[in-house]
Amino acid sequence: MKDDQLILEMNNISKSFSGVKALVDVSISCKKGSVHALVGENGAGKSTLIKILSGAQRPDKGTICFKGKNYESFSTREALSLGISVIYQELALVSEMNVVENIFLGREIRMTVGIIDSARMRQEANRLLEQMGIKINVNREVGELSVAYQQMVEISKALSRNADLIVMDEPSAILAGHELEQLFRIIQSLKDNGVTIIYISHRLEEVFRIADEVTVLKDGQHVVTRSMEGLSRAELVSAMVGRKLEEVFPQSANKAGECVLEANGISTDTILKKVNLKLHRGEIVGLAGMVGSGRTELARALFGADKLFSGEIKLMGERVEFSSPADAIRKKISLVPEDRKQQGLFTELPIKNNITLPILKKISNWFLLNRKMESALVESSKKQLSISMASEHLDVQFLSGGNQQKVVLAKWLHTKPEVIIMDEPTRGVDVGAKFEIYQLMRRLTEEGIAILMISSELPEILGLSDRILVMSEGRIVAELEHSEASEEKIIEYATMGESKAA
Amino acid sequence: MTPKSNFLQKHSLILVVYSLVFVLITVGSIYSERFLTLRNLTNVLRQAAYLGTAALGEMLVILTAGIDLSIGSLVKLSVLVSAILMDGNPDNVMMAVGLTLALGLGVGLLHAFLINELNLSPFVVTFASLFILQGISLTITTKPIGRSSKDFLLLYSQKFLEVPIIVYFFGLVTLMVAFLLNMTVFGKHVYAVGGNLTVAELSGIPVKKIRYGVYGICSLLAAVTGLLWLMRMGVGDPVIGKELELNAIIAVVIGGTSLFGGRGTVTGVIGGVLLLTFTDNLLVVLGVNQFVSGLVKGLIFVAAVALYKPSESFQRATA
Amino acid sequence: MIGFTESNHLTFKKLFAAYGVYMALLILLIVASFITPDLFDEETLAVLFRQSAQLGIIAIGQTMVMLVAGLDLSVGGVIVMTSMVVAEVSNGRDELIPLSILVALILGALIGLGNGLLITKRKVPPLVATLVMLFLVQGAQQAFTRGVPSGFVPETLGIVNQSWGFLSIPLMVWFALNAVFLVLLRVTPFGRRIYAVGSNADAARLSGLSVHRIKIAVYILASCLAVISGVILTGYVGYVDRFIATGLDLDSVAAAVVGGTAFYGGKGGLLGTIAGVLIIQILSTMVVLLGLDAQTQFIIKGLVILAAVSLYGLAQKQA
Repeated sequence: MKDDQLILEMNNISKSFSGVKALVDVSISCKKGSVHALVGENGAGKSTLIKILSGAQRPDKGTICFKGKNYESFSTREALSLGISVIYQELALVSEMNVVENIFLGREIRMTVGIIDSARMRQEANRLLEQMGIKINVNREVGELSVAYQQMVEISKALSRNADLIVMDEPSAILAGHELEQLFRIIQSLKDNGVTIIYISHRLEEVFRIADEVTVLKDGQHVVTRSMEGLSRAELVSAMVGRKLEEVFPQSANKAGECVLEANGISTDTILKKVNLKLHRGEIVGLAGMVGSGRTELARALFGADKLFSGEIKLMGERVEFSSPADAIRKKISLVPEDRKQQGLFTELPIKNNITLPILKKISNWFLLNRKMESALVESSKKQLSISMASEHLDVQFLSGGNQQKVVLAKWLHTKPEVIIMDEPTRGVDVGAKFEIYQLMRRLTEEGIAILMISSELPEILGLSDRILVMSEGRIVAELEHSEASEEKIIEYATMGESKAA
Repeated sequence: MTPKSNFLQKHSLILVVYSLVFVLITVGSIYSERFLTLRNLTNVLRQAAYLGTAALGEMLVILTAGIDLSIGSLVKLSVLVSAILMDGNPDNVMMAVGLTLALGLGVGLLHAFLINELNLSPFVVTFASLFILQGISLTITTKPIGRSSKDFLLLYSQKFLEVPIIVYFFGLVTLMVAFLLNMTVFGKHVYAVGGNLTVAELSGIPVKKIRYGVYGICSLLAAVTGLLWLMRMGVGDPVIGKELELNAIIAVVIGGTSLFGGRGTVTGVIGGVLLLTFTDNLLVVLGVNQFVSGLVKGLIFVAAVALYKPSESFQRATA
Repeated sequence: MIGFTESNHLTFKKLFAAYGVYMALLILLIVASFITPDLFDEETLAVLFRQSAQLGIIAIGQTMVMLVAGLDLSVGGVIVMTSMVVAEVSNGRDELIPLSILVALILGALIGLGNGLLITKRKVPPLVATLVMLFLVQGAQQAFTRGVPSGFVPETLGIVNQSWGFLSIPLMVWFALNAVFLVLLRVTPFGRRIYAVGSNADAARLSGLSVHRIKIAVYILASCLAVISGVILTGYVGYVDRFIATGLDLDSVAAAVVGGTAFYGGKGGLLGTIAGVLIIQILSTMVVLLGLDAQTQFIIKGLVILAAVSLYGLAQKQA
């Protein structure tokens, strides 16, 4: 291949966030008119790389060469005018506006000053959609369209800007099987028209299906770039895994007791499809799977936060129905949510208010809070979890990520739970606190508590779980014992599409 | 979900509002001979112009997910200022009208400035403005003041083809706002700012300018409403404009505009205005005890908002 | 240490939020001692405190509503309703006073329940929900009284005019209610939950709180406080007046805002509101003492609101 065919070269890009290295000397180049897949585990640095490419973030080091010109960085607007469009999972559309209006938002075709040429815009929109081979009524509100069509509107928006490079960030994560086919067809036709595509996906089938080249990132570093030709699935998986174990995991006592929580064929309006699950006293069950595979939805369903569509949940063998989290909490279930700041904490309230919120009744006499009792409880939490805080009156927002997570844990431990569901328990937590949380989880299981741990960190899943469940597309597709599990196997299951899982 | 049911769901409020207007008209024409006369109907439309002009401005602001609580106070101030400036002198009409409109525009631009540059919420800014404008008005006078010129006053009763010219004027304002929202780049950007601010910013829409635009027009239309009141009253009466903003907001919301921004149509708002005005008129025409009419109105309002479906949940259900 | 956000962590932001308004009050008093020393006359103070109490009592409810990210514009309507119910039910007979107050409280609670249900179950924005409720209440009053309030206010209710120096009964009631609700907000489970719901409704639900029930309870309390304020006002005026509460609803919002309670919930508290009430009333009194037009107090209120929210915004950025 000759160099002049390269449309994009990102050279030696490095980026770190407050000391944490997200990208180290990563280089990647794409040939014009090709589909270049970008793969790697959660947190491998894919999104940071894309954000730099879209102009949303500046690299600390490195250069970007696009269409033969060198840049150190550019703004989002410059990126767009250069011909780089990024289609995020969170689509950048105004759902109240129709298809035409969305495609031309901010770049409306005018007849004269300020007056829109709706006829031409509609024509142009139809032409773009036709070019991709899709039929949508362009007068429909985008919010009424299925997500798949919304995505196509995004693609036409990129095309209307004459994009030469379109980055698709996990486009398949929001699509159903048959919709995927349509996306592939569109990608093919884009390719034929000379548009270059960077395709990010967890699902390796898709990568094999449409990519010409693939780049693997791992822990912010470039692992390999190669042509898809002659590449085997096993080779690709092994390039993605093999992350070094930095943390030491406390040994498992592995004495699983009786079954506490059981889910039989639960489905929800969201994504869950007939999920079965058993949790035993004293075990940590790891729930692996890619983002969007339904892990968080499963946690919410078990906790009564989302309504069940069908199926049943049994607690100690007895059927229970949760109409709200309050019901689940009464039945001794706790949820440490994924998004700590949005769902777990009251960041602008003091530590003690956060910790004692679910047990206020227990620490009041008549109507009044027993503040001494409260302080004693907070103090005991502080000791038990070694939360470092200057005062219980401090707002939670002033604590470090690790200490914030300990506050969430402290809140739930006071409710004396029997089941704790932890969604990404160590996200945004420093290494020291991570280890403390692992130890704590172990200690809790020794006391007979059952823990369901959702995590995107495979070492964490492998190191801590007694049993591992792998989810994909709203189902549990595999159950692995601690001894038989490996990163390869988990990724293998987590990245397999609907076709195989069924 | 089929497109048809979506259409119904999306426009259900507008349908409900216009059906209610239709029911009112039917009831009115059955029970009173006076109701379905050209005279009464045009009279209702003339009344609708007062609430409607203000409501259309309020709608523009609400479409951007903002709010203007000050328009009632601004209408009051505009009546007073224009009456004082005109002072019964025909030569002063142009000057008085011009300065009053300039005052309105200035107030609106100031609102937008405070919201844009000091990062204050529209609610707080216009809430404070409500007090300030009312204070200025009442400091000027607490009794009727100034005088309209005779010609200007005559405009209220003047008719063209049996229809009061104020009705034509209101039609013109409505068309202009509809044109602005549907045919211009500005209008599209108004919806985008209210629908999804982040996307609007990412798409390079000049959000601050849009705010100057909507708050400016909103206050300008409030000043226009003030001038219409001067035509009707002939004097600057400080009673005018009381709670107008609240009625305007109700008309806008009943007409299917989302207070969260991004969704709403001129057709709907006019429906809301007509519903409110026809209710008033019908209660009078039917000779319903004026004291009961407030209760009936209150019940209609509560029923209308209880049926209110936030656009938010509509989005989530279908997205 | 006194700090209404219950924190000993002294950032500038916290300091300002907790004490800024008291510093402002202090400065205002110092200024007043120079330019309007008459403010400190026993009689003037007595009037000032009585007015503060009337506003302060409903401001307690308004503050709680705003703490759960709400707004209640119907409190003025509840006050008028109270005065009518008291006159109507007791019809001047002292022994019926408790019954009449009980009826008013029940009706008030129903209005609060209506507000709460519209806001939680129907997801109507608080501004619109409480507004239509206000119109309904006003309409019902008109229908019931036929525009001419009947009944008499029992003489014994005039007891609220009793005072010892500037220590009047309304002031003591305000004081007592402040004490009760300060305790409620700071050291009861319910108070903690109010802050939690306002601070992060999502997290509150996931922590097992029934967000809807808490919000509804708060609106009911706000209406009941308005009833208490209404009883006092009725006793003070001695007859039924439809305009008894004009402006009080907006003033209660203003007091809470000046005192540092945020519209978006979870932030602020009663100590701030007390200072906000005093600042507003002192400024109003000073306007009169300075011989300025009484109406300029509106302008000053508006400017104070703008200044307060700008300063709170600045302090937030600083931290």
